This record gives sequence, structure tokens and C-alpha cells, in this order.
Amino acid sequence: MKYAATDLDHFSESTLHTIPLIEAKHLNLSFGKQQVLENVSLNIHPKEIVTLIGPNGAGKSTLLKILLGLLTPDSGKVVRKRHLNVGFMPQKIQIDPTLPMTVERFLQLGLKIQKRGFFRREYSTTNLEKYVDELNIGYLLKQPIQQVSGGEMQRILLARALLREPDLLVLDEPVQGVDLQGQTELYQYLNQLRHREGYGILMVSHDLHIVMKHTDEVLCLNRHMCCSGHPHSVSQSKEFQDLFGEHTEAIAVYEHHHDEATCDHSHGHNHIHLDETGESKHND
Amino acid sequence: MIEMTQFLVFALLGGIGLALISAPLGVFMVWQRQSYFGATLAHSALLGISLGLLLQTDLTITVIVVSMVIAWGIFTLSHSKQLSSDTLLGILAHSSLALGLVLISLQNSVQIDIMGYLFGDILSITKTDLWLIAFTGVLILLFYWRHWRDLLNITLNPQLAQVEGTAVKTVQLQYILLLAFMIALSMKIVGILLITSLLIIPPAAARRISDTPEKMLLISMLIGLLSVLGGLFASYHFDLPPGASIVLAATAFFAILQLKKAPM
Repeated sequence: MKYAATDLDHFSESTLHTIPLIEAKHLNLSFGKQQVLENVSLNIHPKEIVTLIGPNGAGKSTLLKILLGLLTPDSGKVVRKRHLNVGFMPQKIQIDPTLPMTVERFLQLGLKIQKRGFFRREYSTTNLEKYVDELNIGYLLKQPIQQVSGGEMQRILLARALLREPDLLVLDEPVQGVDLQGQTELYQYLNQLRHREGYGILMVSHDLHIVMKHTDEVLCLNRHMCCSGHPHSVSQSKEFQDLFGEHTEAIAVYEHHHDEATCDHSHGHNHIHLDETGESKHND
Repeated sequence: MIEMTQFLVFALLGGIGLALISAPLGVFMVWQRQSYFGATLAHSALLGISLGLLLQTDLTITVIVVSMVIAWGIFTLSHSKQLSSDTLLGILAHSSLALGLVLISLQNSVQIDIMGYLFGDILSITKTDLWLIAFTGVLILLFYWRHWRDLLNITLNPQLAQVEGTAVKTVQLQYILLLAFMIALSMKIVGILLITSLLIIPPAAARRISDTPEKMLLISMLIGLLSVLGGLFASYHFDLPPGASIVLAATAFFAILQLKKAPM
């Protein structure tokens, strides 16, 4: 029942000495009589991937909204690093078909403001081509945003979040509706990004095994933080098994099989592997 | 003869002015699926008229103030809690309309033609009205010049916009107050029917031939303008009610453009 915020030995050495990008302390929130979050704390450091898992209704989205500043908690506080730049990838977005908008325009609208005047603003456009290329969405640019597929939309939303060169990337269920191949590619890409750009990444998921392969810390939320730590230790904890039941065996696949003392998560993207049994044990 | 041309010229100028200022407000009502919002504000403007009669204050100003207060109320309530904004709008629209009617009936001495406010009389536009329309036009121009991109981002996804640093609530509130101001003002001049139609129908018609938001705005303005010209022309030549003729002209544009396939 306790949250292991002080349990620092789960973090890699480098994160020990950095200031967290964002830090939530003892958050509580109720909607009416229903307590949604109970004494929830967490922090995210640069280059760290934190995955928030939990069953439906566990308060994952609510916690995300508080961290993003979209909701105010009843008590507790969120401390952000000064000038923290957040890139946000919403779970889904619905755009009315009456709005004529191409994918290209959608991305341009997300560009970061460089100079703000009363009527004129200047935008930095250097990143647009780079991420369009890396996420392979160039062929979509002239298409209406309402007509792209689910997987394409995820890549577009990710590109829009990345355009802003965020310090912290927040992804709400980034692989929902994406096939296994697409999921693996996305996770691989995110892993590259955090090493290359130094982003901290927070993602919400109710997928239990693929997510964890690159995760430094898993937070298991069920209104309160019921367990947290390195994926391996979380999967073995009693709280986790109580929450997710028997199928947690599938968790075993996320183990890295490398020695953390000599290899501090800085290896390239080649250690993403598809697990043959993954699909059958996939649960959400 | 001179008087005759003057009221026609005023009607034309007023109508064109309203067509031009309702398009920018209307496109966002369509994109954000809020066409009911305009109707609610128009209904509650009737409450302003009856309050103005009761308190013997200037009708135009009272209607504007009451509409803006109600718009602000809708905005605050819909941001605070629970009730879906559809339900909320329904309750506010009809209760304020009912309250307005009751207040009017309590004043025995006053005979008021509610039909006049439903359909208005574009032929009775005065010089003051024209100045008010021009003033509103300037306000809308400034607001859109500054916040066009913010409005588009809010339309795409308010939460994403807020995380990206758009002052979502401020911009939304300003938009809603402008809308209330414009509806209140034009309701007294041209009636509820005409103003809610000018807000919605030209953008809906323009969608078929627009491939960017900016084009859709310009084409909406153009269609609104042509509807006013066409409606007034028909009204003058065939002795038809002018407001209704304008609405039908806009609807005709909408119907014709439905035959065309959307460009994207």
C-alpha cells in the first residue's frame, strides 16, 4: 500500500542526481463522494520512462490531467521544473468533419511560438520536416485529418507533441488500437528519443507486457499507488498480482536479460523484441 | 421617393454588415457543434426586452447586458460541473424565454409584438443601428486577428490547446461574449430567425467548396452577403417579407452546394 518514492535504487544512477521534471506530492481528489485519487505521489526525471498502469476507473486519466494542469487536486501539489515544456499526446481527438483541415495544417498549428507580439507571432518550423520524416507521415500531409486511420492518427499526434521539443512527453494510451507491429515500432522509437533528445516520458497504458520492456519505473495505480518500481519487481509484488490476477505471467517477457551494473539502459533500439506468445497473453 | 431609397440603402448596408460579422462567429459555431448555443442566446434576449420594458431602460442596451450576463452564466456553469451543456442550454433557453413572456404579460399597459422580435424588420434599420453594427465589426476583427489560431486549436482539442499554452478559457469567454453581444444587437434589428440563420447557414453552405478554414470563412461571408442582396431584391420586387426572404436565399445556396461533392 505504500508508494516507494524513496526507493531510489530502482532508478539508474544518472537519474539519482537530477532534479525531477515534474513531481507530484500526496495528491487527493474526489468527485462528489467518490474518491478518485488517494495520496498519490510520483516524480519523473529526464531520460526516464515511467509507465502508469491500472485497471479501468483506477484514476489514470485523472492523474494525468492533474499533472498536465487541466485539473486541480483537492489537496497535494504538483511541482514542475521551471519553464517545463510539455508535449502531450491525447488518447484520441475528434474533429468535426465540417472543419476543413489537412494533416499538414494540423501539425503547423502545433508549432511552438518563438516570439509573441500582440497580433503577430513567429513560429519555429525547423522540426516539422524532421519528425514528419521520422514518423513516416509525409504521405498523409495533404489528407483531411478526419480521414486518417487510428494508427496514422497516433503518429500524427505524436509528431505534434514532438514538434515542440518537450522536456516531458506525456502519452495517454499511445498504442490503443495499434497492432503489435506498430506498438513495437512506437516503443522502439520512444526509447531512441529519450536517449537522443533526453526527454522524460510518462505514458499511460493498460497493456501489461510490451510497455514494460523499456520502462524504468512502473507505477501501478488503483486510486492509490498500489505498487511501483522497476518492472521486474512490480510484476513479482503481491499487490500487482492481486490487481491483475493470473495472466501476470505475461509480464515475464519484459525482462531485459542484461546486467544493469554494466549496461545502464543506454543501449540502442535493437533490444526491442517481439514476444511470440505476446498476442495470446495480451490483455486489456 | 428619397425616403424610400434611404430605407432600402440602410437595409442593404445593415444586412451586408450583419452577414459579414456573423460569418466569423458562425463558422466556429458549426465547427464546434454549438449551433444550439446561438438559439439559446437569442431566446434569452427576449428576457432582456421584457426587463427593459419593465424597468423602462433603453431596450438595445438592456438586451445586450442581459444576453451577455446569460452568456457568461452558461460559460461558467458549463465549465464547473455535471450537467451536459446541451441540457443546460435547453433549460436556460426556455426558462428565460418563459420568464420574459411572463414579465411582459404582467405589464398591462404594454402591448408588444413578439413576432416583431422573432422576425424583426430589416427595413427599419436606423443610422444608430448601422454604427452599432460597424462597432461590432471592429471588435470582431480585432479579436479574430489576434486569436484566430488559438480558436482553431481550441476547436481541435481544448485540452491539447491548453497544455500547449493557449489561454483556452479566456479566449472562449471572449468569443461567447462577442457572440452574445452580436446576437442581442442584431436581434432587435433583424430578429431571432434572421440572425441565427445568418450564423449557421452560410458556413454550412460554404463547407462544400472550402479546403481550408480561412477559405471557409471568406466563402461564408460571400454567401451571407449574396443572400442579403438576393433576399432584399426578391422582397422588393415580389413584395415578400425581407427577413424570411434572406433566410430562404441562404438556404437555397446551401441546397445548391449540397449537390457538389466536398473537396476534402
